[in-house]
Amino acid sequence: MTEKNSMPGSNSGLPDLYRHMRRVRTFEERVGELFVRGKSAGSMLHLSVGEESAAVGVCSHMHDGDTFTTHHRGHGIFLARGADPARMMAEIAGKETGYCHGKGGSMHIADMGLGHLGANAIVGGGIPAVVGAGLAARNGKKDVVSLAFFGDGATGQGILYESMNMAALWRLPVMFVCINNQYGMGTRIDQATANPRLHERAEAFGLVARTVDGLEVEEVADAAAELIAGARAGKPAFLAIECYRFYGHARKDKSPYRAEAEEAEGRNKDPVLRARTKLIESGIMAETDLDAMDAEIAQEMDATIDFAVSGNEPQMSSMFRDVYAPEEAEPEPVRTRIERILARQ
Amino acid sequence: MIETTYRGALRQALTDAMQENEAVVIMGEEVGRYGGAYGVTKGLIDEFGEDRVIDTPISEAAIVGAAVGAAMAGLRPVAELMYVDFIGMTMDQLANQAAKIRYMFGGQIGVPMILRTQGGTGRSAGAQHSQSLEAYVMHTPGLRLAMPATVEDAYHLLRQAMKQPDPVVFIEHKGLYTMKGELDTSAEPAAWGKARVMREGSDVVIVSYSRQLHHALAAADTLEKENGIQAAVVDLRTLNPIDFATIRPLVEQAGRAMVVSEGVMTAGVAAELAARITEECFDYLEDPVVRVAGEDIPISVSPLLEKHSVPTPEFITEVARMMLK
Amino acid sequence: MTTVTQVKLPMPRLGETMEQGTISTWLVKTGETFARGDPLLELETDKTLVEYPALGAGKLIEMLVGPGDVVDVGAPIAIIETAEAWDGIADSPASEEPAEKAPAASLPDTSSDADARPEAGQRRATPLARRLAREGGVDLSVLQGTGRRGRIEARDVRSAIEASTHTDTQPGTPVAAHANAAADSGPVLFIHGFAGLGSNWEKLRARLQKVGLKTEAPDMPGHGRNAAEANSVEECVAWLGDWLSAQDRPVHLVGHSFGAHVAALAANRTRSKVSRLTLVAPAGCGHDINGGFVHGMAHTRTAGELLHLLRLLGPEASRLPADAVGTMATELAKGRLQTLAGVIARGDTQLIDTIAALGALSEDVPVRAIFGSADSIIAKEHMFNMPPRVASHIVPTGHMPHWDDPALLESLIRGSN
Repeated sequence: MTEKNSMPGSNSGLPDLYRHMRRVRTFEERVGELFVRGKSAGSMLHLSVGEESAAVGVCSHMHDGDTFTTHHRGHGIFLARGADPARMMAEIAGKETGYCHGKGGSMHIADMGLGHLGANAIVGGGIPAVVGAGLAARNGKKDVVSLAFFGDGATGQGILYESMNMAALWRLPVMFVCINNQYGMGTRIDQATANPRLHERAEAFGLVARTVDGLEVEEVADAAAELIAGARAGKPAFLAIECYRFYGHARKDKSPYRAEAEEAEGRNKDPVLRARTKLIESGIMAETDLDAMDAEIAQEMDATIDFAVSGNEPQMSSMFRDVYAPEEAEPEPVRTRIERILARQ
Repeated sequence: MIETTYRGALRQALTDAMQENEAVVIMGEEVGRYGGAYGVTKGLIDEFGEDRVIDTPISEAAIVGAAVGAAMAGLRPVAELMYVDFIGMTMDQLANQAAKIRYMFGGQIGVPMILRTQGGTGRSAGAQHSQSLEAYVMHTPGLRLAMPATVEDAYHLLRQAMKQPDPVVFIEHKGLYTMKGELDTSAEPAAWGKARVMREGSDVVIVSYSRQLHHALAAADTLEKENGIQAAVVDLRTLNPIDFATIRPLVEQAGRAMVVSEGVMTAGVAAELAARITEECFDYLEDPVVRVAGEDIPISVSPLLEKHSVPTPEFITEVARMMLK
Repeated sequence: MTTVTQVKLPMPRLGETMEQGTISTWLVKTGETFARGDPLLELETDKTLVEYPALGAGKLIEMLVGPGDVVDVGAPIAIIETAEAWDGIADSPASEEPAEKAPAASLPDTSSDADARPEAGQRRATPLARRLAREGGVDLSVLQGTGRRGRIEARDVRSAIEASTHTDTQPGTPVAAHANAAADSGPVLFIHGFAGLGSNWEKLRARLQKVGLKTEAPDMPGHGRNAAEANSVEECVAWLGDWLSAQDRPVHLVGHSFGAHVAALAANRTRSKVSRLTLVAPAGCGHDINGGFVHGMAHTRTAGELLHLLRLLGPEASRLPADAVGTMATELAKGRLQTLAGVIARGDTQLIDTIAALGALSEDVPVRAIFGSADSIIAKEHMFNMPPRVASHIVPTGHMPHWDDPALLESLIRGSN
């Protein structure tokens, strides 16, 4: 990945945070377009528009060697961590040129090079892996941290509490990042829990826990800086980031379950717009510079669609590959077995 | 060559692996200070310390999930699930995560972890602690499955499992822990994934694994002594991969086969094997392939009912006689 | 309720091709009773001397034919009295009298029991018995099952086959003579295909050696133990040309796939040293080839990958033991064949031509071509491109006829020797 798109370990200031948020926003918009053009592999596309500050703010304090898992709404996190948007788009389109050669897709994207241990389509499914990664870091005396990103919906899953307990018990370099976009699919957080102050649960397990407003990316980044530093030193942490999911659960979902007024108010809490306004008002960047930056990003993201659309389909012969390690026999195709059994000789 | 038990051989395998490879860690409920519910890991915490022999909370899903993450991050975790009956608690981490990560991620990484557990009847442990759930595992591509029947395999199969690049579910039998046998840790074992022909015979082939192997061998002895029937007995050793190459010529010779398994009959391991034998050896069969399997019922605590809920040596003998009548 | 009826016993059909049989000996005397399974008489056909067992209990009333009589299948040979339904004879009452014209009414009460009265052509037989019958040319419908519930088992078919081979074997069997003849006809030289090995021919060679034929199957350049590399077709043809030139008498040259192309080109140059040419699944006889296979083999790195490719070859290739596949993968991973693959095919297009050499060659040397009907590497339709003098066969195999059906290949090769 080119250096300008990765965020190695320092809060590079509001212009950079803005740029990365804009990249996430534009990427997600292009993912929506890919679907409309009929080029995405399926309709299981969960956009993180409105949640850019969580991805960008937290990832601005991750280093090489750190690992993380995400939920199904994880495009922004992976991109903020330095992913190549073209290979991401190709994966979302189910192409051989994607990160997982078209086998994973939007919900199972991963890249070991960037420490992405995998997006997950099971709510809470990726959380315990960071406990294991934390154990590996502790035993190997490596100065790395492992982060689990998940949504508010995962706070209903027992695995989160099993994992938080273990992390706290063993004082692992682990952080739990809850991106609270107010909705688990169609159910609002206050319809799913009696106590929506989620960080209180983590405190009960002995974790260092905070809630921040996702409208302000700098606040997210500052909180992440502090908590991640603590986690590296053996004080596992929990960070809840309050934001609003701008669109439906998936790209195809028009969210009829929530009131228009509520939606309009929620969309006012736009972290990207907020950062942009701040940059202009504080005189850090001129509007024309920001327009130029946005245009450049739009161009970069347009190219991801071309890359995805023009990529090859996976080879049929790859279908039986990677069920087991490369040196192992591949499973026998059903047709081969039937033809063999029914052969007269 | 030493004389030891199935339990002792398992412990020896874990000890040797931990001495050889710093990355090996054991994690599970009661594996450390308590020494394991069935005593397999006794003493290991003293030798290797609590960073490598990790007592966990009673959180089966997170034990397996943490093992997945640890394996991806470079450790060689051996997670212990106290009873296979608890596998339902871990199924997401096992079937959706461990089994699929290599494939979903396009071959970028594997999950070289072991899930050691034990199952089966024989200790009046009741319906929730006596099951044989290997079919759950076998039904999930991406998971290897090993089930040792002998003292030798308790050591060698576990050692081989710990060298596999993919996740292995390793199911011991609670009725075998005290079984004694000779163990040569330096002997060349049968290769991973290879079945072992325990007994040759040209009249009927008995395919089995885990504790039922011993019932099958006892039945074969009786059949020879009392009826002059020569039964071949095969120990599958691993259920994924399945070594059909060893089974085929035996069945082709005998023309009759039965599969003996403690798991319940319907949609079980025996069902899969019977289908395979019928498909592959159809033109050589003189009888339908018979499943001698567990009854389609829960296991009772009553020793009498428990014993007859799964195949007994007497029943296996009787079935062979029926086939050859 | 059972009723005893008199019925005519017809001459049975003891094999699909049998039209008549000769009565050898009656084993039951007139007036004697017999039980189900008792042999009634011995019959001779052109191939068999067999006992005909009773299909139910009864009594022999009258013999209609005697020893030495030649009788058409289905013609009556005796009148018997029986209370049971015999396959195929219930509709043949002994007399035309109306009183006896309703055998259905007088059938025993087992008529509702499907097990006791199998439908014609639906005889209950074990899979093994069916296979043995198929292979031995035994008609199951004339056999009496001795297995569970009257099921025909392997031993029933085996004894039928034994009975037939009994009369078949003549004194002074010509096997030795055949072997001598074979030894005179010069050795058979096998050339394996692309990414193959001389040892691919083992099964077939073993069969031919059994009947006294001398065979050889070297590894081509670029393959196996042949240290010479092969980056062009010419290197292979020249190697084979040298080999042929060194022979003191003509050989029967057999080439498979790419080896068939090499064999045809070498034979064309060295005609005096080739008595016959047999091409098995020959390459270069049509436009297309499974390029994925050719290039896949040349670039394969792992056993898993290789196994996948080998499955394309046909049923027997799928059964190769894991260790053999592993050895092969290690060999191929050396990458010796990558250049050669590019010379043979680009994508799915063949870059080599065998047909041109065959036209002239087949005027001097007998040429036979064998195509597998289920070949997924080289299409069987390439057969239509063969010059008129080439004899073509389509066999029911994949790309490896010599693996999938060595018996058939043996007969084709011996037939042309």
